[in-house]
Amino acid sequence: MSQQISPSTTLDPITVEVLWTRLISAIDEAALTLHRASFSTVVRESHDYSCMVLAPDGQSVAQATRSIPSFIGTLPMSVRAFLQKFPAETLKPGDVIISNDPWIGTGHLPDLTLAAPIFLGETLVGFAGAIAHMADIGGRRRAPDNKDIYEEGLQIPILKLYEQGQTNETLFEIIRQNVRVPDEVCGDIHAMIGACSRMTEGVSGLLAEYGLPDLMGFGDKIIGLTETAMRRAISDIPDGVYEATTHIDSFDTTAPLVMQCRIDVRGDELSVDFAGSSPQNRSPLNSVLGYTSAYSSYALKCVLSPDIPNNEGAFHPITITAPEGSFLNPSYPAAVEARATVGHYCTSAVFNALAKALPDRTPAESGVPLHGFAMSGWNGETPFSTIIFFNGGLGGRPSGDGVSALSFPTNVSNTPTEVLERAAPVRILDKSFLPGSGGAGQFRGGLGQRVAMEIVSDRPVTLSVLSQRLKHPPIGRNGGANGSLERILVNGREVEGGVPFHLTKGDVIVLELPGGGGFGPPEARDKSLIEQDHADQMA
Amino acid sequence: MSQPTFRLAIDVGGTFTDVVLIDDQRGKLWFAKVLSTPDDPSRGSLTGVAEILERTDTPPSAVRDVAHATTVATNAVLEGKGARTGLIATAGFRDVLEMGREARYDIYDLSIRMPPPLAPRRRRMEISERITFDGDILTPLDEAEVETTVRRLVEDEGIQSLAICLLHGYAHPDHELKTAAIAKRLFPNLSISVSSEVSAEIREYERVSTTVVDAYVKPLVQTYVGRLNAGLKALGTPLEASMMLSHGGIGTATDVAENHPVRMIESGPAAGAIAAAHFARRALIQPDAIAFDMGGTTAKISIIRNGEPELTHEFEVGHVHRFKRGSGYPLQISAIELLEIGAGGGSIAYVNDLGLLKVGPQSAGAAPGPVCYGQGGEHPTVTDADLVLGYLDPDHFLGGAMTLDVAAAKDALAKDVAAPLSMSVEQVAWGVHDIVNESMVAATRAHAAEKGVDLRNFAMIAFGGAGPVHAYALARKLGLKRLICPYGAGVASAIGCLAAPPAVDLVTPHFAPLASMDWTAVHDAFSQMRHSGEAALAKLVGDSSDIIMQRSMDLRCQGQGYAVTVAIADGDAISLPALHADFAHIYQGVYGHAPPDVPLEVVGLRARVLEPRPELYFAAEPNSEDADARKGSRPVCFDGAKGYRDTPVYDRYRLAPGKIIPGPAVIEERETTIIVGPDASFHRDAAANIVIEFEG
Repeated sequence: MSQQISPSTTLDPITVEVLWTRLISAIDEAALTLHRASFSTVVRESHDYSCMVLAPDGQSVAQATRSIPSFIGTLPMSVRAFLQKFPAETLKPGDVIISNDPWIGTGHLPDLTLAAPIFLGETLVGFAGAIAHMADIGGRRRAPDNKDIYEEGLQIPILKLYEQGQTNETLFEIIRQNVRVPDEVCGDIHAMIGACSRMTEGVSGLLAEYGLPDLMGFGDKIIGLTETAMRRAISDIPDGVYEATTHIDSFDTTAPLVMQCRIDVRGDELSVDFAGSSPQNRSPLNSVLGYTSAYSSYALKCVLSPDIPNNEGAFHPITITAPEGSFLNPSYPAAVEARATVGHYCTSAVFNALAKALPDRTPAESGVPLHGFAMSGWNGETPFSTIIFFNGGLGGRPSGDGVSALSFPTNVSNTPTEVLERAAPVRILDKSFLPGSGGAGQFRGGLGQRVAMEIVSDRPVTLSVLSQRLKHPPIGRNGGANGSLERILVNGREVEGGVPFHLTKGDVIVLELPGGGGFGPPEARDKSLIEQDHADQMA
Repeated sequence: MSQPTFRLAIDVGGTFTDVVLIDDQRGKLWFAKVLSTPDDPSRGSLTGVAEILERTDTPPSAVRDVAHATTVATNAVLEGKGARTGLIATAGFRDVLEMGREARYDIYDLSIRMPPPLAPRRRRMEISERITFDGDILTPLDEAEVETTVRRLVEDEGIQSLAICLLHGYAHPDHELKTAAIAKRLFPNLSISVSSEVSAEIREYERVSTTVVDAYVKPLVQTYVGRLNAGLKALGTPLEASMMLSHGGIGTATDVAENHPVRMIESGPAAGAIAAAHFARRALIQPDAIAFDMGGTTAKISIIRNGEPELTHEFEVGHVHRFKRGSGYPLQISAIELLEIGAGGGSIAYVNDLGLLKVGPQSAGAAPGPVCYGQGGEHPTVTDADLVLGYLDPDHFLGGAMTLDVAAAKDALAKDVAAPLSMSVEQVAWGVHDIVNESMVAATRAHAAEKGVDLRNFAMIAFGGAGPVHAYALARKLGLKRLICPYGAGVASAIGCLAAPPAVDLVTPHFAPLASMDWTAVHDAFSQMRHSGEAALAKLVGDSSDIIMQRSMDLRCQGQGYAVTVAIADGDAISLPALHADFAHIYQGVYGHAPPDVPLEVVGLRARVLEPRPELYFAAEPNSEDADARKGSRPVCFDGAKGYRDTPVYDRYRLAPGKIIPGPAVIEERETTIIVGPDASFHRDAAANIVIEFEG
C-alpha cells in the first residue's frame, strides 16, 4: 500500500474542500440507498435514520446532509463503546457491529446502531455508521406506564451481526422472534447494511484516488477548522452565567418535571449544566446523557453557527453535564423509551437560557416534542405494529413567523394518510392546522395541528401517546404570547396520556398539537400579516 | 406542390429564443437566435420562425411540423405569476398542501422558509365525501355542497383555476370527476385540474402539490399555446405546434395545455437532454453518456443510457432554496432526470468561516456578471478564474463580441480569496476551477450511484456556454475515456425537439402480489393503455401503422415503499422468471445488496406508446480541408501544481475532419471554448463534433 503523499494531496484549503465535498456525497448516497430499500414507514415515510463516517477512534468526521440531530450526536459514543468490546486490532473487513443499548446509543431500544469498520488494505481507516428506528422492538410498545427497561423490549448488547462477511444467524433469529413485524425489521437492517457498504466503498475509493493513507490527516484538519469557527462564535456571546427553568409534564406524579439549565460562557468556551433538575422517574420519561447532550449541543449550534460542518470539532469547546440519577442522566435500568419526549425539551431549555444572553437571536419555544401514535394489533389476519408522527408549530423567530406543523428539533416526516390506511386498520378523519394555536407576537408562533383518527379493525388496537404540553405551553419570547396547550380526546372526552389506550372499532382519538410561542410584542405585528392571518383563518 | 420536407423547432429560453429549421431530405440545418419576449413569449417565437423562413427562402407550406420547448410554465412558478388558484379537498384535508411532509430540508437553519402554497388557505375548501382505499363509498358526494363550494371559490375568491384532489382519488376517481363536471357546468370557462387525471399516484401531499401546480400554470400555458398556433396559422404552416414534455416525449401543444400542462414543466431542459442523447447515438458505438450542460448560474447533468435519457418519477419545482432538495413543490410526473447544481460561470468564490475556499451557489448571474465583464460585478467568479487560467481569450469572447478585463479579474481574486488564504492569484484561480469541478463531480457521482450506473465506461457530452470549458477536467476526475463537444450545441434544446419521437406515457396503478396476479387484467390494462395512447398520438402523427408500445412494471418487495421499474420484453407472454431475474439485477445495482427473500408485489403498470422515428441527420457547414486551423498559442494552466504551459489555440470551424491532434489545446468557437488537457488528444469527426480521447 502506498504511504506516499503526492504533491496534489497536501492538505491546503482547496484540497480539504475537495475531499470534504466528495466524502459528504458518498454518505448522502448511502443514506439514499437506506431510504429507498427500507421496509417500514418509520424509515421510509418518516425518515427516522442517519448515516455517518467516523475516524478509527470514533470521532465523527462527516454526516449525511439529511440527518436526525440526536443520531449524529450519539454515533461517536456508540463506536467508542464498540471499540472497547472489540478492540481495533481484532476487527476485520466484513465485520458489522450492532447494538441498541440506550446508554451508549440513541437513548431507546427501537433505534439500532450499526457500524462497519472501513479498511484500506490491512489498515483500519474509519467506520461507516448507520442508525434507524425499527418499526418494532418487542416489549410493551412505547407504553407510557413502563417502569423499567425490561418492559421496553429486546435489548441487544454490543455484538457482531456479521463477522468477516458471515451472517450471525443466531442473532437474526432472536430478533425475528422478539418483534411483531420481523420482515419489516430485518428488511430495514439489510437496508442499513447496504448503506454501510456504500460508505465503505466511497471512503476507500476516495483515499485510494488521492493516495491518502487514512482519513485522519484530513479529518483532523476539518475537525480543527470547525472547532476554531465554533470558538469564534462563542466568543461573540458576552461572558456570564445564564439560567432558566423549564417545566414539562410528568406521567407518574402530579408535579411537573423540572429542567434547570445553567449556561456558563467564558471566553471561547461554554458549559451547559442541568444540576437541580428532577431525579429520574419510574416512567419512560428519562433521557440518557448522550441524548440530553445531543439536543443541548444541537440547540447551541443552530443559534451560534448553523453554517459550519457538524463534527466533533464543533463540540470541543462545549461541555454538557447533568447529575447522575437525574431524569436527564438516568441510571440503568430506567425506562427510557420516551427519551425524545424529554430530550427535545433540552433545545427549549437551552434556548430559554441562551435568550438571556442573545435575546435577538433566539427563537420562541416550539411545539416540541415530536408526537406520535404507536399502535399494534391485528390488521385482518396479519399482525401490525407501526408508529406515525405529527409535529407542532415552530416558535416565532427573529426572522419571521414560525412555520406551522414542522418537525423540530428532530426532523421526522409524517406518514401519508393514503399510505397509512393501506398499512394499518385505521382511518384519518382530520389533519388540519389548529387556528389560533400559535402564540401571538410581532412574529407569531407556527400553528399546531389537529389529528382525528378512527379505529376500523375488528380486533382491539393498543395505542400509546406520550402526551406532553397538557399543562405547560411553548413559551413566547421578548413579549410574544405562549403557544397553545395540547389536548387528547377519546370519543370526545378529554383524557391524559399516562397509560396506553385499548381502542376498538369505531373509537375516535383526537390529538391537538401545540402551536409555537410568539416572538416580540403582538402590538408590533405588521398590519398586512394580521389581515393575511384573518383571511386564512390562521389566528 | 410536393410533400413538405422541412421541420421547425423552437426553444424559448429566459434570454434567447432559438429556432432551428431542418431539411430532412437533404440533411441541412439552419439556426436563428432572437431575443425572448417574456411578456408574450409567442411573439419571440414567431419572429424567429419568420426570420429563418425568410432567410432560407422556405415557404411556410413546406414545413411539415413545428416542435417546441419552453420554460413558460417553470418561470410562472418561479416568479409567482401563475393563475389565482383554488383547491377542493376532502373534508379534513385542505391543509395537506401547506403542511407537506412536516420535515425540514436544512436541520440547522432557524430562519428556514418553506415554499408558499400556490393555493393559500382562504382558497382551499373542503367537501364532505369519503372513499376508502379499497373503493367503499363511506360518505357520498353532496352535489349541492359541491355547487356552493365552487361558487364561493369563483364568485367570492375570484379564482381563475381550480384544482380538485380528494383522498384516495388516485385509485377511485369517481368523486373527483363528478366534482369537476359540476364545476364545468357552472363555469364553463373555469380552468380545472383533477388529481386522478394529472397524476394518479398514491401519497396525497405529492399528488395535491402536482395538481395545484398544474392548475396554477394552466391558463397561462393555454393562452400562450393559443397565440402561438394562431400565429403559425397566420404564417401559413399546415399543422399546429407540438410540445416537448418533461419526460422527453412530444405531444400536441393544445392537448398538453388543455389536459396536463404540468407535464411540460421541464420542457426546455428535457429537450437539451434529448439532444445529448441524439448526439450520443450518432457519435458513440455504445451510446452511454453523461450530458453536461453548464451555463451562467447552474449546471445540469443527466445520464444517457443506451442512447436514452434516464427518467424519474419524483421531481421538484420552484425551490425556495434553489439547490436544496425538499425546498420546492414536489411533482409526481415522469420527467427526464436532471440534476441541477448551483455551479455556473457566474458562481461566486469566497472564503468561508472555516477559512476554506468555497464556490457558489451564489451567482453573479448575467447581471452584473463576472468581474471581467466590466458590468459592475465585484466578486470573483468561476469565469474570472477560467480567464486567469488562460482558458478564455479576453479578445475573443462570444466570437469577439465582448472584451474581458483580465486585470480586474485578478484583482478581485486577490482581494476576496488569495489574500485571506495567503496564496497566489494563480493558485486560487486553479482552486476555484478545481472546487467547482469537484462539486459537479460529487453531484454526478451521487446521481450515478442513485441510478446504479458505473460511469467508467461512459462518455461525456458537453454543451452550454461554460460546459466545454470545464468538461475536460470533469471527465478526467470521473475517469471517463471520451468527451464529445457536439456541433450545434449552442441550440441543443431546439435540436432535441427535432430528435424526439412523438410519444405518450401512461401509468395504471395496480396493486397485487406478483405470485397471484390476474394476468388477464394485466393484459387488459395494457391494451387499454395502448388504445388511449394511440388515440392521443393520432393527433400528432395521423393514422400511423408504425406505432409501438413499450411496457414495464413497477415491482418491489412486499412491505417496501419504493418500487423498481422493470421492462417487460415484447410479445404476448410475460415471463415470471425473467421478471424475477431482472428485478434482482436492478435491485442489486440500485441498493448495493441482493433483494431479501420476500415475495414481490406489483404496484403499477407503465406503457410508452410511440411512433419510432429514423435518427435525425444533419451535416455541418462545409469547410476547407486545407485551412490552417491553428490560430496561435497562449499560456494555459492545467494543474495548479505544475503552473502554466504554452498551448496551441485552434479555430473549431477550420479543423479538418479525422486528423488526430495531441493535447494540450484550446479550441475556440462562437458560443464557447473547448479545453483539452495534456493527457488527451482530439479530432473533428464526420458530423463536425469535437471528440476528445483520454490516454490510457
